[in-house]
Amino acid sequence: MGSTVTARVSNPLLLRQLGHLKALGLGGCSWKRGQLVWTGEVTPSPVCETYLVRVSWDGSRRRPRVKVLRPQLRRRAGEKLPHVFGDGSLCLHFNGEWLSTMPISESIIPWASEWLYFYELWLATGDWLGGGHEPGPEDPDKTGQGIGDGWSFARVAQHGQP
Amino acid sequence: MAFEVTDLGLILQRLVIDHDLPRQLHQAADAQYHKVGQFLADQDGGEGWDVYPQGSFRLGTVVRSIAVNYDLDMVCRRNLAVTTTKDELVKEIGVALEDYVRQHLGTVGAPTAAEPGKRCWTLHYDDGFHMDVLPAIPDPSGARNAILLADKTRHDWLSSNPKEFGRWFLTQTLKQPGQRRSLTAEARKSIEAVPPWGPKRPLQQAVQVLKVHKGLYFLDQPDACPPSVLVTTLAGHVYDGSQDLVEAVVNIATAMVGAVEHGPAGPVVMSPVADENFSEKWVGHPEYFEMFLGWLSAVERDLDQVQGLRGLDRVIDRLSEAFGREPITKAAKSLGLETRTVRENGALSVAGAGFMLNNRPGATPVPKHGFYGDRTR
Repeated sequence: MGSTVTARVSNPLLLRQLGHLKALGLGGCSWKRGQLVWTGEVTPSPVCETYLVRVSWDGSRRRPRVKVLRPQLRRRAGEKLPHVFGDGSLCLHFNGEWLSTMPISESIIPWASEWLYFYELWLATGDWLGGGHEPGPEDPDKTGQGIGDGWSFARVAQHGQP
Repeated sequence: MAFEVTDLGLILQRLVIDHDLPRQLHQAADAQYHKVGQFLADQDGGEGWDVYPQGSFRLGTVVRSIAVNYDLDMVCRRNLAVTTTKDELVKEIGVALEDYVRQHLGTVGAPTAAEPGKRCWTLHYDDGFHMDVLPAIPDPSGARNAILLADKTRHDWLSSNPKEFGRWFLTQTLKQPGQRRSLTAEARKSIEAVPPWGPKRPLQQAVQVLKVHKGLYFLDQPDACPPSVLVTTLAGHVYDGSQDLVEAVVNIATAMVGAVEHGPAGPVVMSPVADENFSEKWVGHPEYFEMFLGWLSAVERDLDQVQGLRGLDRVIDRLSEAFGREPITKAAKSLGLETRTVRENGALSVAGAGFMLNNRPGATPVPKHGFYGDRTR
């Protein structure tokens, strides 16, 4: 992995993220179709399951894509999974809350751990206790592929309050 | 000190906190012990009465009943000779309590009625608890604080010593890991008389866990339910100083039967401080003792099985079978909401394996964020 990945990456942001991820000492990194890919096992608490999570990022301002590889995420009878995008990736933040200068190891991955914790509580109770926002028909960013803009920051300010 | 935001012990701790007296009820009950005691003493020129809590309030192991009302005990000890008859004492206390109710009617926190109860008199309150009042006189042949109780379910005076039992039990809560033998109360002179409202020690919480479990296990067979004081006594004897709540409960349940004595009439559990038999209901009912053993096995099995599970939903499901779905779900939800608050306050961090930790010094806090997403799957 190591030197081969580094040699093929010229984007300094990607290199910096790779350094942070390696320093995390958890999981492993690889390079796939222009994207930095981290795969690792995450256990949110001693009573939670252990999940194999994959984070992919192309070095742009687009948010990293986070998927749970195993075990398959379960659902409550008759309900859809909360806080996921159309492609099944996890929705961990509002637009503008993650910037490419923020280490994925200190933001996206901990947020994924948190998501999995609240997901398990949702399975048990039917309530999403982690806060956040489910977009309505008027929200433009349903796919989660948007980039930070004035509207998004205003939304963060409104819903980011405790 | 850093700790995981949720684990089995924390769920059980939340469960028993939810079953315990909330602060304002504890204060209200505490005030009543003092006020009723002061009233009786004032009537008598200041001498002759001693009013104090016995049972779970004194031990710090209160657990509300399934009926969601707190069942508290009050001893009213009158300094009379044993030549007093039980009937005379019960009548005298009844008159005094009815007087107290009449004179304080309408006052905030005062009882609404004094009525004959299952053991003697019961003071009823609007606050969510009631007090079973136990008239008593000093036991002339007994040790310090020994009393004779007038319990109408019994023909004779009942030997008891709630104050010394409290000292004994609270001393056992101070055992350190590996200390299996009962500690003697004299070794701990600083034991508080009645624990104030606040965090409980592992033995107290373990007894509370066992009481909640027992309440559900024997819900349909209340006659067979072992008295809480019996469970508390055995727990005090066998507690090994574990500071982890789950370990404490499992170890107590495993060892408890070893502390039951066997006399000519069968298995027996005596008070460690008085000639008082806590296992009287087992006399003539050997099946109740068998059910007690069955209950202990269920405690071990329930906690053993849940410790082998992963996934909060599976853990909650399994714990719900033992402790009730509503209280366990409430405990888990409160931990979840607290985790969110910890994150919002910037005190949440994530350790190597992904464990979320609260309050780890020097750790990078999880940045503020909000979950979003389009729920289409």
